Amino acid sequence: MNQPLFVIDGVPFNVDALQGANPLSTLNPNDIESFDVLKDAGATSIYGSRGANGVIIIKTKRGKKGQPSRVNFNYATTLAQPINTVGALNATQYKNFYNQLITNTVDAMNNGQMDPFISFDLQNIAKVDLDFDTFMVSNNGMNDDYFGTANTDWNKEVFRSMAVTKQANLSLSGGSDKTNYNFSTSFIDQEGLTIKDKMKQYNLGMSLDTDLTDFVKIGSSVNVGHTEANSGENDILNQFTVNTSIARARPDLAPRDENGKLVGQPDYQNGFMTLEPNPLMRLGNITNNKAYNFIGGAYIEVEPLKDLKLKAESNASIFYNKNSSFIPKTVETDYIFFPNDSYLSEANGLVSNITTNLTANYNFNISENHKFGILGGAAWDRTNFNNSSQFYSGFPDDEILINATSARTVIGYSSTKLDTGLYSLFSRLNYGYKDLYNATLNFRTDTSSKFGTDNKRGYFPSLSASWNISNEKFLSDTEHINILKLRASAGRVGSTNVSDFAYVQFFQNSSSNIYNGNSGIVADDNFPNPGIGWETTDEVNLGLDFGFFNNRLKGSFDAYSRKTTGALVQTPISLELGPKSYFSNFMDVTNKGIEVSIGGDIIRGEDFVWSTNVNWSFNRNKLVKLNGASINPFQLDYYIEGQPVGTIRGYQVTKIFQNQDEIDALNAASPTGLYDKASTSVGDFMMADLNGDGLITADDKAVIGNIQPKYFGGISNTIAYKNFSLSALFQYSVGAQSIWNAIPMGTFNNLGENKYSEYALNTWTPENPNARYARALYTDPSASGRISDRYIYDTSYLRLKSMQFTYNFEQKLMNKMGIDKASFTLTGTNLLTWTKWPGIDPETFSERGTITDQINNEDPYPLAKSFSLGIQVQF
Amino acid sequence: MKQYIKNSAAVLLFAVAATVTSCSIDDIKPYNKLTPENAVRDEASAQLILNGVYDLGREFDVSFFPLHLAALGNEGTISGFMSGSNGFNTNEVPVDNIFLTNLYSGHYKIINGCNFLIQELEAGKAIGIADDKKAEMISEAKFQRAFAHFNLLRYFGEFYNVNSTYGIVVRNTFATTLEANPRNTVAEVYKQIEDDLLYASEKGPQYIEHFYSGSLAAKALLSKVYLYEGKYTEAATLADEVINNDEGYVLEMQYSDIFKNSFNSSEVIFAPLTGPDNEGKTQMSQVKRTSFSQILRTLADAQVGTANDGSLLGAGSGYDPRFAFAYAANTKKSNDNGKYPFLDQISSQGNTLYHLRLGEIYLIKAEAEARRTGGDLDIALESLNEIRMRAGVTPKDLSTQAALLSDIRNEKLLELFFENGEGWFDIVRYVNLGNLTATAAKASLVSPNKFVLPMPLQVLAGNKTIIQNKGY
Repeated sequence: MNQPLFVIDGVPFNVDALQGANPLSTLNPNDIESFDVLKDAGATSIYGSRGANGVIIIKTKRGKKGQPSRVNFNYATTLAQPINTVGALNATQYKNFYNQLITNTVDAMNNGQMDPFISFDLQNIAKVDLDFDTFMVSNNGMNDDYFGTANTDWNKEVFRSMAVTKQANLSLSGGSDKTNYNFSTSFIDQEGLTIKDKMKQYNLGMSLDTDLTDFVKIGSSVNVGHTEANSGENDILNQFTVNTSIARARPDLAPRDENGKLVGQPDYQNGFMTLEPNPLMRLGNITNNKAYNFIGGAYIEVEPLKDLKLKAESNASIFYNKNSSFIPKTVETDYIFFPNDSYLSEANGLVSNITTNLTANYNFNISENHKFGILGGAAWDRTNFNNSSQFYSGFPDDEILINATSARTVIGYSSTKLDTGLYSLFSRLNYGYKDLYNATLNFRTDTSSKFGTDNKRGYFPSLSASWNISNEKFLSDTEHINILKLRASAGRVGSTNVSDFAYVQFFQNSSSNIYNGNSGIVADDNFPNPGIGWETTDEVNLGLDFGFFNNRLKGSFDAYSRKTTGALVQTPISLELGPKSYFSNFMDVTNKGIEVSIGGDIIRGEDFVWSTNVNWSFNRNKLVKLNGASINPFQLDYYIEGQPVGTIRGYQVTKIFQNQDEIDALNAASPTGLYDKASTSVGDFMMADLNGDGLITADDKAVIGNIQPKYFGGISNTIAYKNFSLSALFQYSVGAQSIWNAIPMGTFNNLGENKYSEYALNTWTPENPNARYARALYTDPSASGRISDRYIYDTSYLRLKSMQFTYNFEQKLMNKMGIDKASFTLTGTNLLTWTKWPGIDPETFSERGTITDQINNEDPYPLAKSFSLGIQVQF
Repeated sequence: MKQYIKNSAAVLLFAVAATVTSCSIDDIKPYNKLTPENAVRDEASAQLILNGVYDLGREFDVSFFPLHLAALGNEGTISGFMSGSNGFNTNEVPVDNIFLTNLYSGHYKIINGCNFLIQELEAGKAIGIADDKKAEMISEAKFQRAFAHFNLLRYFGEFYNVNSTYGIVVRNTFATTLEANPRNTVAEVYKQIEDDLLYASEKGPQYIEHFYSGSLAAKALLSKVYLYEGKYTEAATLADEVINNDEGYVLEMQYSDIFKNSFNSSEVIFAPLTGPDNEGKTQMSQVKRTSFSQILRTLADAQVGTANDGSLLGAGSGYDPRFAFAYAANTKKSNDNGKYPFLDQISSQGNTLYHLRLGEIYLIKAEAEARRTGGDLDIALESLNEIRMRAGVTPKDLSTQAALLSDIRNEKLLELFFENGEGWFDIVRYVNLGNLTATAAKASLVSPNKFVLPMPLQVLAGNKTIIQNKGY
């Protein structure tokens, strides 16, 4: 869903708001010193508006004062494969399925369940004939020449057997007594999982801090990155992901003809023959994405009085993207009777951001026991977006004359410019009594340019306190208790995660708004909401940190309750107004949960240490209220008051009909003469008539599933013996559900396409009466594809996320060779998964990111299962 | 190193200075956008809005619905996959067919654009525009508004019953605040349509290209609206006036020329312009994914020679020449329907939508004359036979009023199949007027509830005052 706020060396980056620019790709991964997740309200509220999705603080490495210069080098090679691939029918299964489909469909026609004229469509692939006197259809099996003789495993054709990644990193850091520095450079050369994907990334980073005088410190850091990715995917027109393309490809046809040319596959989904590109052809796009990123910042800190620090800090970042995608004729469906068009899309995006912070910080003690800290500041954050794109059509060929110069015409073009700003004032008051009690009061106010005049400003106070019990006198003698700290906080954060100027109705024209050669101006499809404003989350947190027995057992316990008021989401609107899209502070949502982390050293010996850590999180989400006077909440599928957000509604399948008498009785009892569809018969789903009116309508839908897990977390284990160490991280999630969209979509049974094994091997036939899915019929006349509980699957899983083996070379030996430290690591990622989910991966659901995309799983580009071998040397 | 530090400090100070001096959040304004306050300033800017309205009429969502209507009625069936086709062949259109939502919304977008233009012109926002030019532009917008309301009423309302409360929501003001209005009655919707078309008939432009909607288009549409309302005398008079226009609209000599000349045909009263590249086209090329019905084929066969002697080989024989033109091997062209000869390619001219053409008006006149009190069946027959003679089939003889009405409906099917869904609306009207049995026209029309499409789910979700149609 929404990305957390990344704070890189003190500079906040709201990834959601950067329109695809990625500040993380600017960083050399080896330069990351620490990666901290802030959770409680007291911690996040200093980031005010943008902390609502959590805050991740990233610190990059800086040199240390007085440290002799030090060189770090590491190199790793990774071998990767897709974590899983789609299961589709092989050639024999494909033949069997189509024979079954034709038989079922012809039977349905002869039993009066389907229009016999549809048999004309079937004639494309099978020997079926309609007798015009009796209107009976005869079936003599599939056309002899319909099936090919190959047995192609498209997964093997599309994915590399091993995708190789090489990664190198070199850094130099050190410092004198006044100055410290860090330089680093890295390079990644990555092969993607499919045969067409390739990526290269270069990063350069440097940072420097120096004490100019005893009172003035300055510092600066610069990170520069360049990424170039090539792929065969089509970002513009493609209706398929790499996996859906594989799933629908016929296994009985070979990828290439005898001349080695890729060949399309005969298909009849449109009612006439077309040639569908095979999955390799679909990867025939020439897509090149380049990104040039720069993040730089400088600060000056002055200490005019003792303990009063004034700091001015300014950071600039620039993200420039240049994308080009040539879409040749061969990647789109070939309609045969006319040649396809080829296209070229070129897009540029320039995102620039400047943030400026001024802070004053004063620490003082009233007496030895009472410590105070006061901080006040102001921040200005402004981002500018400049995007342009051109879409060309008509190229002489598909290989060489594919640049814009060669295009016949330009059919789409755009250029947009947008400024967005967030200006803030903040203050903080700290109080500490001995090392026992601490309290922090934050107050922040933000103004956002996203909202109308009266709604720009939001206020974000927070209060947090802690009691360090282990420092109390009565415990100071106890050796068994090392850490015992009680924390509590309450606060408010906000979010502006909505498009800019949603409060104004715009009029505009685009390249396609032309009539008779003249421009046409139309109202923007977004209906204005003058009242749109801050989404706020109020949060209360209670936590306990503990460490016992010399920290051999340690962990933390957190409980929280968050209430989000006026969550910004796209809202149903009365469509009679014209525009279709509308954003408002639509929902009030609560999240309550517990997070437990327990770990420790099970064995702590001289040479041998085994430590383990277990995380367990439990979150209950509830949609408290929908704020919309005119909406009809009973017609919404995912947003139901009193239920978690992302509740799945659909029909309940009572059973699959096994004999005609049952259907006849239900039809006889129905007020319209039909219980469900006219074609509903043996082998179809019996949907439950929940409202008891004798027929199936949209009113019979009920809550059938939920995307929220019951609990989730991770387990890590580390074993170290002398110079060896082995660590393993498991991650788990229990109790969530999702619809695997491909299955209900596939029930239409377009003629030609291959089918998912999960579906095709589990449909009802007289021999398989206890099937999960209804009988397969062409065009799905009984509407078996309606979302029902038969398409809901448990997405619980346990995954061995990573496993790492490290060997540290003998230090003394290394020192003789002039090397400080050297080590060797072998890392495995995503090695094992235990799940009942029938799709590819229960962890990644969608390439998009909204709540509803979590409900319908669409088999996105798979995660990698990989092994990586690396060495690290420091001298 | 020193240099570097100095530079950073300079950059820093500059940046601080720059931001501090421009620090009002209200300075952040949108770029390159018009707002309702400044969109209409003069005649030229008003024309841009009007162009936008015409352009919206070619949007994907509203530009091939005649194909769905053909399947809803008995003109043909949708074979294979087509956007939104779920349930049309068998008259079981589900409420969650998302295409219906887009269709509904697409029409209200047109209405909203019209309302804005009318409002701004009436408020005098177009400085310096001549009064008659202003009235012409308002007329064109009112025609488009009436046409969109009429379509919505026919798709989602009980258009065949003027006493029904199941109309559609009438919108005649530009939407600025969030509101949700209940459905108007059918009579109220017709009132709005009539008012708009009467204005447009009187003030609309004349002698214009046929892809703009002028005064004649308003009269033609109004005659059709009168026919639907049962105001047969008015319908007959107005249809006659349209036929005898002095703006040069005449029947093509050859049926096939209508489709060759497309929106420039002398017979076309209103059909949107289509063109290559950015101009855009309708989605009617998807007619390739449909086939004719046996009812249409049998009817076409009966017009020429004996029953079951039809052939679609070569130029076709034994069929009504109009059917043969559309489907015979020599003339069906790539889309398998000669009425839509243009390919769906960027460089192609593209296919138009035949919203209104003179051929239909002759048949409106025939039906209205045959139905009106004191109507002259000979005049009705004459109007019918003009169309038959142009088509090259034998004229009909007069027997009874019932037979004549049935001939007229059949003729509309033969003349207009796959053009504007009229075959479907005729079935609904004839059934409700007692001239036809629904299941005889199509077996799946088992209930009167099937005469109206469901209000789409998203429409109900966004407006809780909308009452669903019966039986959904």
